[in-house]
Amino acid sequence: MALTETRSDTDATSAGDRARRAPSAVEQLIGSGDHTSIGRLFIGFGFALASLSLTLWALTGVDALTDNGFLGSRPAQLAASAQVALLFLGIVPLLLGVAIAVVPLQLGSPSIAFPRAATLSFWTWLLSSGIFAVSIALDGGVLGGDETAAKLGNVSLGAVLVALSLGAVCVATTVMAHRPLGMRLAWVPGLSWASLVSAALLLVTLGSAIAHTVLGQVGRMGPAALATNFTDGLGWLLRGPAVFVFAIPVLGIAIDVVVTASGRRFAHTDVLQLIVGLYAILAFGAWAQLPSALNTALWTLFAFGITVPILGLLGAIGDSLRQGKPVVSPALILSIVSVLLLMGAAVTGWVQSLSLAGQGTLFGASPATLASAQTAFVAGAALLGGAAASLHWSPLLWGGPGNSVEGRLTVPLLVLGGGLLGTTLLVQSVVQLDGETTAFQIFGLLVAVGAGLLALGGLSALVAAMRATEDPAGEPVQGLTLEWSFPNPAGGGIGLPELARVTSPYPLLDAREGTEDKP
Amino acid sequence: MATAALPAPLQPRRRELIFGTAFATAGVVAVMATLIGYYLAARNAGGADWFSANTIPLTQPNMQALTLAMSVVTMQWAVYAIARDDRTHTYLALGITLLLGAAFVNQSIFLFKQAAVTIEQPEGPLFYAVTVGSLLMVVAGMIFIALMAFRALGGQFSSRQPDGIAAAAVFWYASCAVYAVVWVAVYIMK
Repeated sequence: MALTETRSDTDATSAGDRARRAPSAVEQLIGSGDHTSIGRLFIGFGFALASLSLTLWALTGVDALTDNGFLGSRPAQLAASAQVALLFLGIVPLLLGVAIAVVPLQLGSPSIAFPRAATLSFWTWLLSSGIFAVSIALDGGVLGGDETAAKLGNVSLGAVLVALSLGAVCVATTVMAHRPLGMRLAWVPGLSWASLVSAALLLVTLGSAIAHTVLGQVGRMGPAALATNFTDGLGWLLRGPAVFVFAIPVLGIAIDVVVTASGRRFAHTDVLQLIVGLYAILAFGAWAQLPSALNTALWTLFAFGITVPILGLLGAIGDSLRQGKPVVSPALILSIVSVLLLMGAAVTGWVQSLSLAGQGTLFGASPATLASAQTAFVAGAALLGGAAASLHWSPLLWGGPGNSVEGRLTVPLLVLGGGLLGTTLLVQSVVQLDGETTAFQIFGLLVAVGAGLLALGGLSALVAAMRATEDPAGEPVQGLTLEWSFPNPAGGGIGLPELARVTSPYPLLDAREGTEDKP
Repeated sequence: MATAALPAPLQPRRRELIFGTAFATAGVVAVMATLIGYYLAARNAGGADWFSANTIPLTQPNMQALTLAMSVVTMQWAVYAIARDDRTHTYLALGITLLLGAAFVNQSIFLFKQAAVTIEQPEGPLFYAVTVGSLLMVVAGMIFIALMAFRALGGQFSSRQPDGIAAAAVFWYASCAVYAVVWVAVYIMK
C-alpha cells in the first residue's frame, strides 16, 4: 500500500489512536527517557540538596558559635553527614546531571546511551537521597547513634552510590559510542572528555565505597560498628586524593566556558586532555583507604602532584583569555574561581603532607579538620562549576540566556562562600594545633557564614534556572561546539541530520570559517 | 518506477552495549577488589585463629575453578560462532556455558553447607561478602547470557551485530577472573 504524506481523516482517527491517550504530566515526568529532562532533574535536585546539606553544615558552625548551644551530642554526626550529603546528594549528581543533559548534545547525539538506565539512576538516587536525609534527621546518616536510623543511613547511602554509578555508566558509554562521524576521542569537547574520565574514576571510587556499605549490611553492624566502618572504610572519600575525583567535570566546564567566552580555539586540545587525564590519575584514591597509606612517599607524591594539572589548566585558561577578547560573564567568573578553589584544595593537601611528615616535631594540624577543609574546597569548586555550567548552557538547559538578577547574584554568593568555608577550615587546622580549641567560636561563626553563603548561592542558581524563560533577551551564543546547533531549549530525540563530517574539535567554528573540509 | 538499490551508507559501528558492560563491570570489579582486599587484611590480622573452628574442603573450590575455566572456553566459542553467523554453534556454546554456570552455583551451595561458616563468627561477614559476591556475579552473568541467547534466537545478533554476545562475554570473563582471585585468597590461602 502506498502511504501518502498526508494521512486521511479515517487514518488519523483510527481506533488505535482514539484508544491511545496522551500521557499526563506526571507520567511524562516519571517515564521520560529524554536525557535533557533527566539532566535537568539531576541539576535541580542537586542544587536543592547541596543547599540543604550546606545549611546543615552551617548549623554545626552556629552550634560551635553558641558553645554547643543546641545540637547536644550530635555536632560530629551532623557535620560528617552534611559533608557526605553535600558530596553524594549535592555536587556529584549536580555535575552528573550537567553531563547527562549536555554531553549527548556536544556529540550531536539524539539521546544518551541506555536512557532507561539513566532514568532509573535518577529516581533511585532521589528516593535513596530522601531516605538518607530522613535517617540523618533521626540520628542516623553517618556516625549516627540510633540503631535503626544508622542502618537506614548505611543502606540508603549504598543505594545512592549504586544509582550514581549507573548514571556514570550511561555518560561514559555515550562519549565512547555516540560520537558522530569523524569525531575522534581527542576532539570531543572539554565537558565530554572530563565527563568520560570522571565517570570511569567514579565507577572505581564509588564501587570501592559500595563495598564498605555492603560490609556494614552483611555484618549486621550496630551504630558503633557502623561509625567505625565509616571512619576506617569510607573516611578516605572525604580527603585527598579521592576527594578530587568529585570535581573532575569542573575542569571540562572551565575549558568549554573559556572557549566560548574567548571565541577562539585552544591551540592544543590534546594537551588540555592530558591535563584532565593527569588530574584524574592523581585523584584516584581507592588505593589509599587504610590509614597506613597516609604519610607514604606515594601519597605525598599524589598530594603535591595534583597541583601540576591544576596550574597547567589555569595557565591554559589565562593564555586563551589573554589572546582572545573574552566576553566576561557570570559563568566565566564562576568557572575560573572554581579552578582556583581546586588550587585551595591542593594547598590543603600540602599542609596535610607536611603536618603528617613532621608530626610531633614540625606542627600537628588536625587531620580531620584538614580533611574537612579539602572537602569544602572541592565541594565549593564543584558547586561553582555546576552553577557555571547551568548559566553557560542556560539557553539549552532552561530556555533563557541566564542573565537574570538571580544569575548574577549567584556569583558573589558562591565565590565568597566557597573561599570563606575552605579557607576558614584550613586556617582553623593550622591555628588549633595538637587538638587545641583556640578561637573555636570565631571559627564556628566563619564556617556558618561560609556554608550559609554557599547554600544561598546554590538556591540562587536554582531560582535562576527555574526562571530562565523570563530572562531579558540576550545576544545569541556563538558557540564553537556542536551543542550550540540544537534548538533552545534542547530536547531529546533530536539529532543533527545535516551534520557534516567532523574534522576538528570545533565544528561550528569550522563551519563559520568555512574550513570544515580541511583534513 | 524502478529505483536503483543504493547500498546503505557505512556508519561507524556502535559498540554501546560492550562499552556499557565494560564500564559496569569495572564498577563491580572495584566492589569485589575492595572486599577481597579487606578480607586479606582481616585474614592477615587473624593469624592462626582464622577459620580455626571450620573445615573448608578444597575439592569443591578446585572443581568450581575448573568449571569456570571450561566456561571461558565455551563462552569464547559462542563469540567466535556468532561472528561467523554459525547460529547452531552459538546456541550450543551459550547453552553449555549456562550449564557450567549452574554447576558452579550448585557447587557453591554445597560448599557453603560443608564449610558451615556462621555469620556470627568473626570471619563470617567477610567470608560471605566475598564468596557470595563472587557467586552473585556468576548468577548475574548467567542472566545476562540467557537474555542475550534469547535475543540471538530472535535474530538480533549476527556477524554484522555481535555486540550482545560479546558484551555478555566481557562480564562473564570478569566473573571468572574474580572467582580465580577468590579461589586463591579464600580457599587456597585459607
